[in-house]
Amino acid sequence: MITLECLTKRYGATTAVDSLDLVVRPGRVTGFLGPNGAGKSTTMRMVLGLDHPTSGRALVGGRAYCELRHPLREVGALLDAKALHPGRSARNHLRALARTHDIPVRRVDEVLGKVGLTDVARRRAGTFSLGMGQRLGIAAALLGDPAILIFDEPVNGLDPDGVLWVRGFIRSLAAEGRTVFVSSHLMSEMQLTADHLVVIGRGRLIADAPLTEVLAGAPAAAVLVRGPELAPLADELTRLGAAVRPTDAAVPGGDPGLSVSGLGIEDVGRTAHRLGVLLYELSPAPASLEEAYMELTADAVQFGGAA
Amino acid sequence: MTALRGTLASEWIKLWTVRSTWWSLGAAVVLMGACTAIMGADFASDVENGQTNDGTTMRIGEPAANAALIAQFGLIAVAMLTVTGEFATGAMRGTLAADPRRGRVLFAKTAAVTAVVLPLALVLAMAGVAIGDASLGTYGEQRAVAADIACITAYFALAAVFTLGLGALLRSSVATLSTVIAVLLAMPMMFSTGWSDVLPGRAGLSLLGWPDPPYSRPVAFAVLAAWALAAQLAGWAALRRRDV
Repeated sequence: MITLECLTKRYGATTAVDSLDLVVRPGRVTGFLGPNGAGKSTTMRMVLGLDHPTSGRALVGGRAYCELRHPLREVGALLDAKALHPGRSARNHLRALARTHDIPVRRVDEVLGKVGLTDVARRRAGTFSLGMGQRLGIAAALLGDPAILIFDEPVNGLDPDGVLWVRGFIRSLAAEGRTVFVSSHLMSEMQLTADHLVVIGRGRLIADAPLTEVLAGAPAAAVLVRGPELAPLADELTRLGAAVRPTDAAVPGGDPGLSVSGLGIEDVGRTAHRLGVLLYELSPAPASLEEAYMELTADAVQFGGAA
Repeated sequence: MTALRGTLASEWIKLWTVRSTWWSLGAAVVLMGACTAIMGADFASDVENGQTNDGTTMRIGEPAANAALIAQFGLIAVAMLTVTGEFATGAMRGTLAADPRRGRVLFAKTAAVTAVVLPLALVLAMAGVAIGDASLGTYGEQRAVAADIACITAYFALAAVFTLGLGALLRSSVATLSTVIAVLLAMPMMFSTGWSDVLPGRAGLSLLGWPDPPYSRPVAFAVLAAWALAAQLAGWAALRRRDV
């Protein structure tokens, strides 16, 4: 469990983290979401005792990080995959880390296997791709088999395969009962990875709720309909209580497409079938979660101009 | 205790698993051998050609003591990179996450570096004196041999400890190296004796047995050691206080 108590960090006149109160619980993935510059990394560094809070405190398992006797056995963290000596081999990098906690070399080879780096274990870490570096960072976090894991933007810059792997791996760690705290600036990513969301902007807590709750709070999901002759369907759907709006996705020579909200995709399909209306397309509109997130953080974007 | 042992062992592994350590130590060996031989032979030929006003003999330890001012940079580089190398890459965060006690980490780094530098310094000093003896030939003077060996060894070790502390304070390789060059080499050349006698540069030269020292070699050792300790304490304070 990670506990933040009124955690605040100021750099001169800038407040990077502003009175953050938060409890990150075990057994689920807690997504730490916010625009770039929102204070996510600063918060994580304070949890690890690397940056000193201006006021308030960050506790892991009830104690300050710097008071932990065996920190790597309690907390594993991946802050920056590139933060290692480029000339040292992956295995030597982990060996040196393991040695601080009397972790046997056997465990080093074990975590290298777990993240799929066994074949390149003796290669210089500087020659690694971003994805391999990220895996090495995760291996380092796992060394002490900690109950608490902290990952800062773990999928940033990864190819689709890498993203999929990291996502699955993070989920499996939470399934084992660990506390998993993952930051990202991508709502879509967190939607697929997290069980619980913590949203911050300009260092302030904006939301702290289960993913389902955030999803429910998002603007109602819509259904997109396209076809050559949709007027009867639009009338009938309106009569059934749906909100129907034309969209710009028109077919050549046909009606504009419809965006239907207030009715499920099954109901829309059934109605079209009953009326004998020909459809070219019946699809769920792209999740509006991204929009919900934008709305949440709109006032909090540090550097203006975010779309 | 166990935590200190672990951190110490970790620093030891880190020291030997990067190439820069090998290159730097190799550079120190080559520089020490070459510079000592050149200085000894140069003096011998000057005497033979009647081009010297400094007498016709030289302590066999003196060429090595002079060469140490050049060769020290190999050892200084090793000491410096254990700290500044980690700040440059961000690896210091990983190091301090594994052992959050700043003082223990700095001590472990210093101990690991000293464990390498001290024995090597002794070997370099002894080899330097032997090379000095050989290159000076009949112009060598068998005097204060043990003292020269001890003082050259101590100088190397203290320069490394001083640099490591400074690295923890300044964090950047360029800033650290510039400061070390300025303090150990440039300043004693720029300022004549006087108030600058208490600075590490003059203390270092006096320890190495340069002419006209303001104080004895044991005092020079104490002054330089005090500066090395001060640099360590400053580095420790900076590590504790500043964000990583």
